[in-house]
Amino acid sequence: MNVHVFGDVTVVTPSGRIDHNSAEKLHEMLLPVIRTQIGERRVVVLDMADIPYMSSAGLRVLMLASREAKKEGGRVVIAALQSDMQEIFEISRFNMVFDTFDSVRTAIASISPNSLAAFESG
Amino acid sequence: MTGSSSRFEKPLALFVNGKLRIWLRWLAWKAGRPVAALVLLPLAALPWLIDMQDLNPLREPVFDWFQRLHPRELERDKHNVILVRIDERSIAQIGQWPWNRITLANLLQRIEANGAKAIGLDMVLSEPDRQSPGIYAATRPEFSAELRAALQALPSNDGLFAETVRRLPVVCARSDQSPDSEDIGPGQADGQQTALVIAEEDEPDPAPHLPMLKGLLTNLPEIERGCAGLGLISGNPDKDGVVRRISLLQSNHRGGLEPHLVLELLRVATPAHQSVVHSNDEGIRALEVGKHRYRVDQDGSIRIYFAQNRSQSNYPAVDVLHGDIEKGSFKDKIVILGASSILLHDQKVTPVSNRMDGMEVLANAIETLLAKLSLVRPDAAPWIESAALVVAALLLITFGPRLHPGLVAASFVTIVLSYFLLSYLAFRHHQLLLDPTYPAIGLSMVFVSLGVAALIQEERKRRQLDAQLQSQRLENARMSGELGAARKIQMGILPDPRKVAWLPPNVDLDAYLDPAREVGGDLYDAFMLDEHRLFVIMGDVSGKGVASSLFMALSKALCKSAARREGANVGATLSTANQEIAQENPTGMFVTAFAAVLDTRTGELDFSNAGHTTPYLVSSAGTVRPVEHAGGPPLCVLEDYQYPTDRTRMAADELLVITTDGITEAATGAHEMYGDKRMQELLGTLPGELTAGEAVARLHRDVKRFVAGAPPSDDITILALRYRGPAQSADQS
Repeated sequence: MNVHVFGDVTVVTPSGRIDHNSAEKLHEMLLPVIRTQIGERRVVVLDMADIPYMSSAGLRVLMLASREAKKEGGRVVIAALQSDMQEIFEISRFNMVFDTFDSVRTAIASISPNSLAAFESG
Repeated sequence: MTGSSSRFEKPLALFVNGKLRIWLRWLAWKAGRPVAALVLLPLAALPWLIDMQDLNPLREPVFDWFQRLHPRELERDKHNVILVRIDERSIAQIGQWPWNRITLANLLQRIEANGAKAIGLDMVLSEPDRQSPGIYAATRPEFSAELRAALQALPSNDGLFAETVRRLPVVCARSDQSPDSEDIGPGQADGQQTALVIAEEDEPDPAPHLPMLKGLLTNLPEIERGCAGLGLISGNPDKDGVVRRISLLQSNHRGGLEPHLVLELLRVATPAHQSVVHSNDEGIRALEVGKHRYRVDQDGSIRIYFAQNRSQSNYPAVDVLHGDIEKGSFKDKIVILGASSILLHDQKVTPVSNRMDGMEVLANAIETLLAKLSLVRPDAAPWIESAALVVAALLLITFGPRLHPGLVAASFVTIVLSYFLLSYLAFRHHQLLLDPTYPAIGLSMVFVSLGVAALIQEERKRRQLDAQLQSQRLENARMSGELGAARKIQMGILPDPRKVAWLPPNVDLDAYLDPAREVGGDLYDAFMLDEHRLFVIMGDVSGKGVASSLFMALSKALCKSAARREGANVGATLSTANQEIAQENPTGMFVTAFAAVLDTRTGELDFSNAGHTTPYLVSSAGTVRPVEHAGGPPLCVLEDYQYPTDRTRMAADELLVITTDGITEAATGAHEMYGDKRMQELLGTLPGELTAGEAVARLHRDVKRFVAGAPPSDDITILALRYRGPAQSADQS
């Protein structure tokens, strides 16, 4: 899992199939990152480009991450969903829970135009 | 994450990775018995294939060790041989070596006078005595002609010596280690009148089996003519330099037989005219001297059984010459006269000593023969040794893999020790040489082969145990019945959909729930809200196992209570349930749900979807349409979410199918999913008259066929509802 900071936006890029077994792993890695990043920056962008599939256990981790962010006054947005993931988000209506963006770039652009420069240069 | 499991594997486990593992598996096949038998086979045949004395460097040292443990006991009065030594003290008193032949003749006379029945002369007198008067005179030109003539007229020392020898039982030595073998060929022995050794007439010629003489160093002819016997003093050490045997016969270039000094001394002492050789096609069998018959090896040699410390049978030559010994000391004894104690090159290595002179070896050989104690490798030795190996190895192969390793090791050690013990006893009591090292080494190889197989098996067993540990723990839990009990409770919560109270006859309902584990997170419910309206709900709790099953029970109860309160407004039901369940949810679980209310009079279907996988309506003609609308996220995700209600109408004989994603995400071993498309295709093939139960069963069968035995990753739940049309028509029919 990669974590990059562009201005006041943190971009987290997890990878792999997230099923019941790997969801716990994602939980352990993602939550501490949310906790530390939200304190300094308001928004975490979850870059889903490397996630081909996610079971309900994975969705639960996303929900917990979102709650954790809200508790600290920030938020988590989703970017670059693959087509299968897009469908999963539609069926489960998680697209109602999260703001989703086609790409990390559009996500950053909508959140913090000032950070876009940092993203484009980095 | 992948490296952590291999990091703690034992070295052997690392070693057996890859192709080698296939070989090792083969080694361990059937507890290693076939491989051990394969190891045994050539080992058992070895004694007939190769000369074991060359192959096995341990054999002779073990026999030597036996001799040191139990040397030949000296029988002073009967068989012992006397050595008269021309030693340092004798030389100091008589004068420098070589002594003149007159002195030697006197010495021989003295020995005979003390009772010796045969005298061996351990020296080759190949050159004339320089102190003979005539020869001496020739070296002194200042002597007058008369003096020289007078001296030359005197008899030579050699003549006088030969005269003495003729009267006494003297055996003279010949050597095959000629200083100049070109000059002195076997022809020198032509003077012999009769052969000293003859072969039995009707038996095969023994000569080809005997070691051949390289050359022959003889005594002066006049001396040889007077000797009672003539014998070789050659000694051939083994390849490791140790003298263990003596060749009693050798063959000369003309195929004649030349006896050893030892054999000649025995013949003269017996006395006998000739020695007779007995042989067969394989070689020499025995030597007959007078009444005595001596067993010999095929090459005419015997193995000497050495005694330790024979020094009391030694006499200095000077004492014998001066009469300083007890009279008759040599009565009926064989005496050997020699100077080997002052000849440094004549030191030999023998099994019992690292420094033994040639005379001592000769004495040991004669004593061994007289006492009939020569050491013998029995003809059956290869059979006995091979059988000892095969019997023990078969026992080990048969019973070893079944017994405790400690017991097998103890048995192995016991067998090897008993080889040595039995071998020693055969040596000690019968002078038989049976090799304990060959079966011991062979058995070790079989033992190691079995041991390696056991080790590989043990390692494999350990791996299997590791892999089974988890499932075994689960198995234990199953055994204890806790999960089984939980499953019963959970399944008990779910209603029997065919026994829904007051269900109108125009509705056919069935459901099926198969948890991936003992307890699952899927739920369904069906009950009548009032006389005409049927409430159905299906839910799927995120996650699996005990935690989600408890959450499932809670969710089902709260949904039912909300439905009772909210009535026909399913969106409100889900909104209320959402709020109430969220309050009881500290672990952040959520549950997807599809709820619907069917008015059985009209077929109107009010529904609301909280993040649940889309249900389908299948017409009697096989048209499949999704039951879709905006809906909302799963329950417990957004606390204050207001779920909308939507409405559709079920036509007569239309089928509503609600599933959880356990159906669409059911996967083969290769991770291919069943998917929404396959499900829709199957639903399209279901005939309109099919009962709800049949429809559920067909879908379930198709999924099972698709995954082809791959273990389920998620709970599978199917609910089917067949609407038979408005109630009036049902009443009419």
